[in-house]
Amino acid sequence: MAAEAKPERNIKISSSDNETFTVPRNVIRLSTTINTLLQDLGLDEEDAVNTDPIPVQNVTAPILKKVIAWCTYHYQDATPTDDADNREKRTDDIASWDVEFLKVDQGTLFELILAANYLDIKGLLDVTCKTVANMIKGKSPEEIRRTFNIKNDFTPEEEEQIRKENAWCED
Amino acid sequence: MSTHESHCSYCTNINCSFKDCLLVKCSHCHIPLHPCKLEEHIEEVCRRAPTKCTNHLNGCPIILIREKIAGHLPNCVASIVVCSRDRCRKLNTKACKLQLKHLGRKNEFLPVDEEDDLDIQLACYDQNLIAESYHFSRSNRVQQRDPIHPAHPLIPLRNMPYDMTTSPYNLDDSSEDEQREKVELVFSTIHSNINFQREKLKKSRMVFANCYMCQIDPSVQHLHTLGNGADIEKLKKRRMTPQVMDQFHEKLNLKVSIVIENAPESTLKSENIREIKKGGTFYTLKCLKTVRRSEYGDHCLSQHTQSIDQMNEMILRCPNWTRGCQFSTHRVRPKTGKLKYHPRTATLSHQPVPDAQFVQDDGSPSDRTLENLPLWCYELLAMYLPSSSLYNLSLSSRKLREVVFIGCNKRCYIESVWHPLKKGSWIQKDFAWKISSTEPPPALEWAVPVDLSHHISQCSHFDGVVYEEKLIPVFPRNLENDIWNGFSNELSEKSIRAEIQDILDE
Repeated sequence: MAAEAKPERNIKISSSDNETFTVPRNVIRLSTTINTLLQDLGLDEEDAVNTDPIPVQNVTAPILKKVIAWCTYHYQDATPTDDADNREKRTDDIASWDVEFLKVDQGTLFELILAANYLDIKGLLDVTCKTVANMIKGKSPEEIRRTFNIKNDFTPEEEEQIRKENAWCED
Repeated sequence: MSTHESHCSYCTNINCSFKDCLLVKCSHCHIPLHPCKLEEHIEEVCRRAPTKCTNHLNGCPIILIREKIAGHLPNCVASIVVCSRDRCRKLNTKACKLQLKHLGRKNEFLPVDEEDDLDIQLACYDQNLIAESYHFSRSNRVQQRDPIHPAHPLIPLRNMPYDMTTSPYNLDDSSEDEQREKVELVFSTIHSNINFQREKLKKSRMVFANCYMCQIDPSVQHLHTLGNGADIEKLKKRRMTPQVMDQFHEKLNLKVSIVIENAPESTLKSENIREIKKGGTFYTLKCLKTVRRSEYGDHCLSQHTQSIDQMNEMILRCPNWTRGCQFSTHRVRPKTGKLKYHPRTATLSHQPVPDAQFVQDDGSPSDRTLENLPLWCYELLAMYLPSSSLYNLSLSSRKLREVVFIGCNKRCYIESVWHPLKKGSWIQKDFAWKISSTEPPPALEWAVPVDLSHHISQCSHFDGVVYEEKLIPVFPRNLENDIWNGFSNELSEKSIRAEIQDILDE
């Protein structure tokens, strides 16, 4: 970790709508996608000249801005241990800063999930999923429809049937 | 005896050079063995051979290497359990039973209001279940009684499709009577002989029907006591304290008591229990939810042990509740959010964050909604969701139903579907994919119910005793002084007398 002593390097990334952001190297480390890219392309070396911004194809500027804001706050966090068990994960341990940060409309929240996945930012993906899960938990089908603006496309007979039987018909 | 039988079945030598049946290697685990044993080896023993899961007969579609079955079984989709936990309810007064019967026949059910406390919601739900059980004909109910539940059968009652004498629906009072007559007619023709003997026995006993001792303790040997005017029925009635419905239950139109009775599952739910003698029938309601074996512990904790079993602590009522006070507080509650009861699925569900904390959609620039996410996204989300949420998601729209049953298939379970053939005979027809409606318990938090103390001092239902006469002091105000003075006077008098006596003695 000799690199840490040296002056902060900045990386340029550009969103899908061609807006360029300058991010400290340490911050963008959280994105495994970009981190690997930089390492593989040899752009981490001292004498590497990277004038061209790294294009992030699938993420729009407002979302990328949010992602960078999240990374800037969290870049010093310890990397979460990857527990790859099949059990259901907790959702009641979201930090208060994240709760405030994720008070956004649902479209943005889902875009953040997609962006976090594309950029492979584990922490952000985790916390956004937890937020969506919390919106779903404990709600009846009607309440879920109301929360997510989902149209009920079951006929009343169908609904009665699936409520009674709960069985999935493969056809 | 063939050479295979005489040699091969006993040969365990891996270098065996027996000429009649040369060793070959198993194509899966490469162990050398006689080819005549190969088929059996692959089918029954080979560790590396692909086999059907042990639960294949229960519907598990998976085929995997034999040595991996042990690891698969805990997550096997066909490894399911039906929960047999139950809770009991008793009636408020004896008269409630008839009212419940009427409610059941007329299909009148109490609405389960989400605004009410959990215990009220549960009681309403249970009352509806009990009333529903009275929608079944009496003969059907009697048929379903068992030695442990001799008064009222286990609720929910089973639909008995082969039972032609009873149709659980479209019943009104008259038709039930008619049916009963019909049943009795059939019954009497078949068992006329038994009936005749029973009648005869009854007649011979009729003479002593009013014997006092017979009714008090029939097991004791005694001479029948007749005709002394002691009508036992009258005696019984006179002794009974009148039962009045309290205002709390009256207001909520609850016929069953709000208090959940916890009788051990295996004890007789009949009149030998103290409460029953006073209150009539004891109703037992079974959970009967199907959950995956791996979820069972969570199910028991969240739906029974840490919720319904400690409802007394979750909803702590004001001591004046029988007078109609609606105040309630709690000793224990979830650390975050609240518990909700979903009557449709009969599930207690934890909502961790109140709705108000989320931003409502106000025309966001993105057109991403819960319904058009990529499949991996749902799979990821499913890791954060309990089965109950997935179940509710599956009921919200067609697309999400597909997502749950196809994308989150690992969380579903498979159950065999049984169809009745004829009376007493069933056939396993096919399998159905389902998802259980259960979840792990929330983290709970215990606290001293301070607000109850505050409430009691101001409770409007407190019926204190008020004395209207003027208070008269029992002791005069200077009583203490008088006592002291008298005591000291007496002391000094005594000492003076003693001194005088001393002087006189000298």
